[in-house]
Amino acid sequence: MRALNKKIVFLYVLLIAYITIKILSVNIGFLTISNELNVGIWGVFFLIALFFTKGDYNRYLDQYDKVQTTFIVVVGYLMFYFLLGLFVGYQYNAYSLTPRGIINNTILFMPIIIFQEYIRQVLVNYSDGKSRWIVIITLMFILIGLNFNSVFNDFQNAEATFKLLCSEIIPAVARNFVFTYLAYISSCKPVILYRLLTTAVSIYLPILPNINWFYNGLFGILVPIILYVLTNYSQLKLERKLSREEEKKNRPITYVPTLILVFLIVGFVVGFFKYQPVAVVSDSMLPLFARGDMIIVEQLNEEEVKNLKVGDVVKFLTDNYYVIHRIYAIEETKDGLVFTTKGDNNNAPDSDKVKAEQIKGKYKFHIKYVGFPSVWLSEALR
Amino acid sequence: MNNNKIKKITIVILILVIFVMSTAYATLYRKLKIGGNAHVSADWKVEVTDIRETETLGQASSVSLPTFTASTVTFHASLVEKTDSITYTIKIKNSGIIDARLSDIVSTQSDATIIYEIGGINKDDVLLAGEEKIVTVKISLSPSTLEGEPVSNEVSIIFNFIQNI
Repeated sequence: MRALNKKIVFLYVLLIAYITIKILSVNIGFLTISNELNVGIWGVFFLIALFFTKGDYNRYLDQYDKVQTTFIVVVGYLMFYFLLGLFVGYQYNAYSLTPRGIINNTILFMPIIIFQEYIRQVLVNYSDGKSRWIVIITLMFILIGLNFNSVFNDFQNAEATFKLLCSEIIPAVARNFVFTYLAYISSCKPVILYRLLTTAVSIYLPILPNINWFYNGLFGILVPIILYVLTNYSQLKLERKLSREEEKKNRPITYVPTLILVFLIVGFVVGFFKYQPVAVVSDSMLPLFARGDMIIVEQLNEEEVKNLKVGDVVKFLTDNYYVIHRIYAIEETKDGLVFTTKGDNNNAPDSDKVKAEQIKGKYKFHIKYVGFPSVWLSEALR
Repeated sequence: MNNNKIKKITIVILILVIFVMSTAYATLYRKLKIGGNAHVSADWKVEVTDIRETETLGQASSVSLPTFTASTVTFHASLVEKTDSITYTIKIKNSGIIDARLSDIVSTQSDATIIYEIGGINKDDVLLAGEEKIVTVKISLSPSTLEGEPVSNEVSIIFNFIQNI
């Protein structure tokens, strides 16, 4: 066993060197690894791992069950993801779909998945289940998967950093912990299936849903969690580590109410429903509501905007941010309705008039102080 | 029914649903709302990163600050005479690992009195992975416009990039 471990140390060294070169290449141009070279490098790593560990013992427990579960979860998610486009619209896939493009992208993306996951499995197998090695392997693969050009670019301001954390880094952490877990309890096969399916969708489909960073991040975190819950439960049952009562209590279906609640809360916050919460960041509408209050806004369609009256408090978009002020005057012009707005606590009406299409909602009621966490986060990110 | 059987049935149902969805897509493709090119993954990241007003001539002025999303820039300019103009400078960066090519530039402007001129990038120009391009957009009045009253209009320009193969 000791002789074999030395070979695994060599693999670790190679991977750490690779990560180091990737990070340094952001500022040192000649260290940049081209996409084609990247495939070659991982091919070499794969062959080294295969050569050093051939014939060694591998603990594969009930792989087929994990592969099935992974297929169901990932395909179910991808269907949901694609159908979401019916609500948010679609965009054309930027990847080339010519025959040459498809072949090129297949060579560029698919073999690397197999090489990387085989190496992960080898490292996990020789970790003897020790948690510190599992964590190290997971961290290494998180770093391997990150695009450091994009990471360093986005760390330049707080808002971009926050978006990067939510849409890429935290999902990468969630994904890689589940991948390492699957490699430990099963093999690389379910992980390869997961990655191949998700990558295939992003490079082969002609259109993709036009979802923003928030939904990308949300799904990127939830899908691995769901996969973990299902595979963990079946693994505990397999190893007979649960009593009958614990088995009943830990069935995946018991998580469904929690999942529904999460979706409802998230849907409410992001404005999926008719009513949406909005945090107030200034005192321009005192005494009606103040900075830190949370107001509930009814989202309006085009027809409903035409029925607005002077005195209504509305939410409208201006210069890339939302304002909530009272309607002071309404004029009918050749381009449609134009609104003059004013904050109750301001001395004069707002200088810019508001067009009908800028109006997004109408104030319904407010809850005092509940909006402060959002206000603080918004100010921290500015 | 045992767990394994349930999973097999679920897989068969999912595969059938995929076929149904593919057929539905082929039938309804023209009715779907499709626009622009998707930001698909961390590997593909071509986006506008900055926009500033850099030159103003004559009585031209910005009605509101220019804004941008990943692929779209929006300006709201007010112009009075044909010699008036505003120039905006835009930074477009390819932070992904895939080389990109500008497939087209689309304007959502509805009013033909205001025209725009793009400098620094042309259709089919390539933006390599890691590269940044500085693009200028000059807004002015169309030569056929009658002078005198200020003309104000919002213009959105979409830069559609695709993989360069």
